[in-house]
Amino acid sequence: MALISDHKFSLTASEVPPSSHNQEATKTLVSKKDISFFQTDLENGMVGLDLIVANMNCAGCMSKIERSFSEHPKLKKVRVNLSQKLVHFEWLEGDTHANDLFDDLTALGFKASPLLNDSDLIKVERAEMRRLLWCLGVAGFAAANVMLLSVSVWSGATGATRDLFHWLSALIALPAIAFAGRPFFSSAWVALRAGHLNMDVPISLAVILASGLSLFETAHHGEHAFFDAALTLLFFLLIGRTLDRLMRDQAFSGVRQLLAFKSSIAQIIDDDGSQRTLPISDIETGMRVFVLPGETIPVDGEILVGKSDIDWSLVNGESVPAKAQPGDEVFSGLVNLSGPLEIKTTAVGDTTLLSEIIRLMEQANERAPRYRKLADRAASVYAPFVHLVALLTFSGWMLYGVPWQGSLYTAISVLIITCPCALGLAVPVVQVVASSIAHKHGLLMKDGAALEKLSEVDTVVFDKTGTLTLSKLKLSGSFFEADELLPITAQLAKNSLHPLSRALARAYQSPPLQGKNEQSETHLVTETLLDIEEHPGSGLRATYNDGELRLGSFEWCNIDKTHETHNEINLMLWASYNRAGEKPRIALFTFEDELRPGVIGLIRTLKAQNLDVQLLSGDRQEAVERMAQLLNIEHFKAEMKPDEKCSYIEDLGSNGSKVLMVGDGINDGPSLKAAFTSLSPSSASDVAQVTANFVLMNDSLKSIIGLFQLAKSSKALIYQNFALALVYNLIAVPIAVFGFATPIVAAIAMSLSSMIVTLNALRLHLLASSYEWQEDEPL
Amino acid sequence: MSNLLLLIPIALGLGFLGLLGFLWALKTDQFEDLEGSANRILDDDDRPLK
Repeated sequence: MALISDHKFSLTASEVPPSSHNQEATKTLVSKKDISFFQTDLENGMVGLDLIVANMNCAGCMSKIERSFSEHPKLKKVRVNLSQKLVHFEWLEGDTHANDLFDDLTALGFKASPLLNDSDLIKVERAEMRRLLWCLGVAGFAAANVMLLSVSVWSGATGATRDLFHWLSALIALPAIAFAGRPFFSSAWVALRAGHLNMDVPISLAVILASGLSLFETAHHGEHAFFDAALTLLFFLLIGRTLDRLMRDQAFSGVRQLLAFKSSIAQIIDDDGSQRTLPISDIETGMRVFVLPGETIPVDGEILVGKSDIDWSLVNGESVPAKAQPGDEVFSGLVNLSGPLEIKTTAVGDTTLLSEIIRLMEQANERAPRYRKLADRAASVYAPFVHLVALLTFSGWMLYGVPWQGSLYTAISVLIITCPCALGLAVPVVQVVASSIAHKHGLLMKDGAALEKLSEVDTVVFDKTGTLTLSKLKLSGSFFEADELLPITAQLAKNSLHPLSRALARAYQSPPLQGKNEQSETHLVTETLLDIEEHPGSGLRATYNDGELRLGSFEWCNIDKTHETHNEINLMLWASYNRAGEKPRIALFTFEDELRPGVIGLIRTLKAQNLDVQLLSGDRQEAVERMAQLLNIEHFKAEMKPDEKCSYIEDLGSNGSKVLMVGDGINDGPSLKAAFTSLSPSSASDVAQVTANFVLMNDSLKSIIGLFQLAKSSKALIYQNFALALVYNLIAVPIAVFGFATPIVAAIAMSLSSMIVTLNALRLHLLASSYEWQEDEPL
Repeated sequence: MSNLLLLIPIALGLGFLGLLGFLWALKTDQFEDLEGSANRILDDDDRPLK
């Protein structure tokens, strides 16, 4: 914890990479704090730390990390989990520090963040998956062996041999069914107790009846036992169940990655002036919180000490930062840009702006009509139908005069043959395949139904700042009275985190600044620029060649009133150079939002597909109008507040439009939730990423086109699968009802239909290879 | 009949070994990182890792 005080007024270059600004800075925020808070104590004085690495995508990244940390003398263990993008470290307490490891990882070029302390939740999730795999293993083993014994019986075993084989089958099958059938039995039991039917009811019924009747037959030296059928059924159903779970786990680990970026710890100043790190949940009203430039403000409060510029873009979509000084009110989620701030907490927990927006989101959730998944709708019709047919078969054969064993035997065949395997697999298999394809192309899909919804979308609503534009600005014009001063002005601009300065520095592509990039009085001394100072809220000044160079606001640069101009979007930076005995020289730089790569093409393609494209923004009218003209979007609205956006989306929805909302800000959270389905870029606020159904992991929006294509063909495949399942049932059910299928034939037919459906789903891989995706750039 | 008494336990035993193998792999976290394991085999560097 000692390192905090050393860091009090300095920022090292690695913490705030020169190429990025507010949002990147938000994500590396915890690097300045003590992340040992996140480490876990293991046995023998060892400690462990898990870091999530956002940009670890390939085998190359994996071995780069493992190789370089293997040479670390103090580390006992380093292991990468590529599927979950995790790095696990273990070392002897005191040998090294969590923060050093974090910095080393950052220096390798990886964006890391410590994993939130939600291990209980993870344990539950992992235990669930494990239980399913256990069941799958046991069912697979039992099914194979019982099938082996059955084949012998079919090949003509009679008398004592047949009885022996039947008893052996029973010995294997009964415990296996009792064990592997639990996921279905418990689900069916829950449904029955709640007074309705689900697909697990006929499954459980078929399995239990089949085992019971087989046991009866075995005990009475009967000719037929169908433990094999019951087990094969369970085995295939468990495969479907596991795939479903896999899909959920993928989505879950995605959400976990997103949550890891949340600013979950804060720096507190105690009354005696000492600092300590506290999790945000432990902060109380009245506590003083210290926020460095580049950090996200963790609480709502009032500024006590310090002047700075505050980035509000994630809150209200405004791309120009606002000045802040002692006495001003600030909210959690804002980003502090230029000066260190001390904030007195006025609201925490449930009363912060962030939680207010989360509350709004929950409301939107309640109001939005619940979308029923296709598979559920099918099941609600199918399950009663299956029961009815089985019951009719049984009573029909009884009335016909067949003894009860024979009638029940046929009814069981019906239950097995109509088993909704193909139906049950039709949706999850396609979704798992689609989700893995999307993941490969940098799109995180949080639930399977979202893809289904996406294929029905007819309106696409974009947010402006941070969604259509990158969160950085672009130099659009400049005027300088002496061009030789340009590079030196750009050099000066590098000393600030202010987005305008960053944009200016970027525009003049000088090599990135090495070493310290300091914030206060003691400043970096370059060969030519001396005494660089930043005055938060005003600008920068420095001595150059015995003259004074200033960069900042109109007032700060003391520019003559006659030069005053206003451009329509009002993103200007002034500079002045005064040297004794010379005429003052001035400069003006203008900036505009930088479009995300591929946006123009994206909008054109979307419109060509007859989608209604709209633009909603909290930014000023002029800026939004300009963007709408540039992108040829007819429908746009500016200066929208979060609740206005949300109700606009809701209105669209109640007028029958199915809206895809694409947004990134905290202010977009409620509308992302209210929309039919939603997407966020990876640079988005935590709220937006957690809420959106899809998260785009790379910079370009181009993959949205591929996603639409994927959604369309997934839906087509799902319908094809349903059709296949239906055709199968139309042929198989009459055969079973009229008693032509033994349970084992039914089980084999059922398995075959499942396989056909799975193979059909795998075709998606072939189809998706020709879609339009944004390829990942290699690291 | 007598060969059956020998062969059936052998068949079941082999199957059971397979099941144990699967459960062991599950217990020792071998299904935790399928993507990583698939790529690790292509790593040419033979120096041991920590």
